[in-house]
Amino acid sequence: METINYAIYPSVLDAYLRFKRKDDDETFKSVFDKINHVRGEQTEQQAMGEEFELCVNDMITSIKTGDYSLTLYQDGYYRTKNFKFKADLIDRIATKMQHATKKQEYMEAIIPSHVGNIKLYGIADYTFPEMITDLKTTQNYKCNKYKDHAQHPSYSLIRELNGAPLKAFKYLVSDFDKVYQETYIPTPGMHQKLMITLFEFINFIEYFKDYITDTKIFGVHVHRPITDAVGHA
Amino acid sequence: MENLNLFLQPVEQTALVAIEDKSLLTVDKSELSEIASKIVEAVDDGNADALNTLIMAKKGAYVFDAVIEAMKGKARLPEGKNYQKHNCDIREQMTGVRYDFNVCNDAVWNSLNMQMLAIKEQIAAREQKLKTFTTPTEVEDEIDQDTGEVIMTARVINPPVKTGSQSLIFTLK
Repeated sequence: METINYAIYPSVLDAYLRFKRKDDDETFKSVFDKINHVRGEQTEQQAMGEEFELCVNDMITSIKTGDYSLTLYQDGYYRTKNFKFKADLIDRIATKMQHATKKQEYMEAIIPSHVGNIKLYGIADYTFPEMITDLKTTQNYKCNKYKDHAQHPSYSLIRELNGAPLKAFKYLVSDFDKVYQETYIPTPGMHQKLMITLFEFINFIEYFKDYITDTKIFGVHVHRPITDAVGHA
Repeated sequence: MENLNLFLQPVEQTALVAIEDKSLLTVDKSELSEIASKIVEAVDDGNADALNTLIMAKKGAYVFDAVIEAMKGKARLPEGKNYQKHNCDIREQMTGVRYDFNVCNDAVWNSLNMQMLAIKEQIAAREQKLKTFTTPTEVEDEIDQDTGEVIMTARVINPPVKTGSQSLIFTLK
């Protein structure tokens, strides 16, 4: 079995990048809370995003099985446990995603490097044969919001290293009113930039090693989630 | 242009960008974002040519950048410093503010600033040296000539990674 020196996933890289850019109130402490898997209180925005995705997934299942579990209310909304969402919006997104071959697919690649073996891993929202799509929700969307995020370079690099390169990575973003699409084409430059970020992040965690209480980031006891296939259309 | 309609759905042949009923003056940010997203989608789905779309966008940016520059000093707020109009919050504030701390006579700041300048110079010199490495190279202990102290133990030095990307350069004629 290969020794893993670092096990890194895109959202922890994003936290580090936001901290560097001083974005979204990401602080030194909040970055290490993420590394150490310190769970904070779930915000309403996070809860709403989770239920939105569940609602989309329910509709995908309905489209595929013909068994509609969501009730369309007269005001044109679907209601979930705590929220209600515009039905036409959910329908549009679900229709787009219906041919996904897998959802919540765990993927990883081991990258040998001068600092050791780096395991890059994560869970991709929706997998298509030549594309991965991530569904995002936000209260305040602006164009190219996810341009500097680590997900599209990470998953496209993982797929390339596993011999199944992507043609594109798309973010399907909703502000609960509209849906927006951002498309990123994998390039060697994109992956090179990711590698530089990875090395920089590794320098960062090595320098501040004393702040790390959860050693998963150093490749110890990485939990492997169960994948959830939705079947092939 | 490669078709990037990878959702495996039939491509809609109808126009996807419905902006006829909108006015640039009154749309809000989400509508502008939606317009941009639909244009990208039209290209991805093969309904619009990517290069033509980029040329249009570059020309549009040329026009709007020129107008933005020309309106500086002409556009004024009717009242107060904060104003809202057509889905825009507009406020007046000083921009490009800079402070010069050299004049403060603060010994701590002066010392930190001098350290930073010295470190910047040291980093630049070190980077110049690292640029000379083109392959992983074993180096011996590095000794401080003045103190005899080992400042870096023997190791393999990797060449720096050179980054850059191919871009399309436009010259409007």
